[in-house]
Amino acid sequence: MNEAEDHVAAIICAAGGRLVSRIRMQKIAYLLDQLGTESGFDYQYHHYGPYSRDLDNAILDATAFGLVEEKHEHRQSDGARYSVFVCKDMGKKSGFGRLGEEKASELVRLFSETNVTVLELAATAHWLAAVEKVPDWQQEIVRRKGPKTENGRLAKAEVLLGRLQLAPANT
Amino acid sequence: MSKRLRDPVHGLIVFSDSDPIDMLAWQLIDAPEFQRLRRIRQLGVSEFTFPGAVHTRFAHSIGVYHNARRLVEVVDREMLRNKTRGSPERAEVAKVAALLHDLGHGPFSHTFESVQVSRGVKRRHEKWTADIIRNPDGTIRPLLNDYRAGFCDEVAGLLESDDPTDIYHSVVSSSFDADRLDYLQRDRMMAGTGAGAIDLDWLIDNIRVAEIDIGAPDEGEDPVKKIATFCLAKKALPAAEQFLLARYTLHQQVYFHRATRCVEHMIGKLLRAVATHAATGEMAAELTGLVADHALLRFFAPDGETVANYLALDDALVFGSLDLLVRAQDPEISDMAKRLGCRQLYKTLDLADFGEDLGTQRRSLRRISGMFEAELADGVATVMLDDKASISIYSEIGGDEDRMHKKLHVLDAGRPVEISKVSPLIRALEDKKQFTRFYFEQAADRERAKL
Repeated sequence: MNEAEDHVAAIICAAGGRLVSRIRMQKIAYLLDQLGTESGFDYQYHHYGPYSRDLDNAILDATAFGLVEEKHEHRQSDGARYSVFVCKDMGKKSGFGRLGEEKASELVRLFSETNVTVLELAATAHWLAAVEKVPDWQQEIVRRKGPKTENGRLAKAEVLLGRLQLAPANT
Repeated sequence: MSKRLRDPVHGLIVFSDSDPIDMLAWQLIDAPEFQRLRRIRQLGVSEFTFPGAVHTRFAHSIGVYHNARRLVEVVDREMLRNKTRGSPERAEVAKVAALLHDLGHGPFSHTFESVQVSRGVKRRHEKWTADIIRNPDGTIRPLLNDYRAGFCDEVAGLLESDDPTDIYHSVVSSSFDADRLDYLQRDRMMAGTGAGAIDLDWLIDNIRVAEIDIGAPDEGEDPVKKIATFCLAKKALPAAEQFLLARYTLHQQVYFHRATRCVEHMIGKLLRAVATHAATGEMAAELTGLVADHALLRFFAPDGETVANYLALDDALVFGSLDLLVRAQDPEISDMAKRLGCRQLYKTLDLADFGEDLGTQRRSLRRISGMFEAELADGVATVMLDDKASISIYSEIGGDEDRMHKKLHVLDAGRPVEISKVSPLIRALEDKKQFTRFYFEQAADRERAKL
């Protein structure tokens, strides 16, 4: 079995060797796990939706063992910082569990080009419907995420879940 | 008649009889759900390390209400400055939400949450807070709805939302929210640490209201929505730096103190063992030493996670049950109860003791985890791993990135920018620092791990 840090490196490799934002990394790992990558990470609900401390530790290991470099850049408008992960060994494979290398790579590329708030909403909608089993997940996500659900972003998240055939889109 | 309380942080706190929301707050303080907070310590088991840190969530919550009133005055002041109109109704929601924000904490707060997480329960204390406020059998809901129809849902809704909708949300959740402005002062005072003073009056005088993008920062500019929140005038930058340093220092020296974290893990182990027996049901009383209808057994029993059963739990109940737990047939429970009763702690090994190099620390973690794989297993736990504490200038306990509205913004040429853009001091503390420790039942095991 691969180590957790190999999974992190493989996700970044699959994204083309560069992946922007820790929040995006968390949501990609979560959605991939729902589709069968079997990382073994445990997730809890945090401010940006499902979050895994195990994944955070795996990122730490990936940087400590030299598989990945984490750089920081700042949003032009307000200086807010975000992470940029760069894979230092492009040959890194995870196996990606029963999802398989090819399908996982295709999805990682898709997620890496998806707006980070849409990813946050997609992961949160899945969490509410499948994990917390909230009966009216739409009301709940609007209650928790407020303005983030506006301007068609929640609809885009639903389309994404539909394409992935994940709850709540598949129920 | 007006009511008065004396508080070590804020001095005299007056509940004016001419202010209906003050009178409602006074009634809410008398509610059993709020009185329960007298029996939950703000810093959990920090008093094992800092003997004076015995202040409660009750005193803290009243302090938060006091701060919320001050912050609403700031909102009014800034509305006048910006020539905009406020909402007295939303101001009332914010004040009451501030008072009630901690109702959903369980015994030892985050320790109890981690026990629940290890049992596969995906329910945060914020959800308990909302459920306690909305509880149709409770005393909070009728008090709120008698004040104004629908007020209960407005208060619970504000506390449930992750992201802000208006400036009044900032009173309860922002870089300068009423909660943070109380606990940073109160925890520092009660722990007795001299580190990290806060220039509160100067900070409050320099609060301004400006709109920030609440979306997570990403490459490119694709704003989610701009929402009004608290920012600081640039002349308060030095005070703002000190404020963030105070928070950082408290995490480093108090909240993440190795002995405190060790006690938290020991209590977690004790409660998990009790929960396991309660869930099984058979012989639970004998195995745990508790009486058959003890509140802990009721809560951890199948289908026992009700609001009524949750409200029966607090720190005092657990510590008051140690004499019963000592008699448990389960030796793990009995041993842990004895240890906690006389502060006989597990032995701590901090990976920082191997040096600051991250690679060395992570390799040591792997080596020790391999050495003690059997001892670390659930249900054994004679060695416990603590790898869930990390700090940066912004990250919270639990480690997730902080939200934009919780980050401190300073007005630079009239435009709100995240403080690290204008402060090299804060920029230097943006990276996460991880605290990883092992706790050993046997001192000899710790010595083996050091080799």
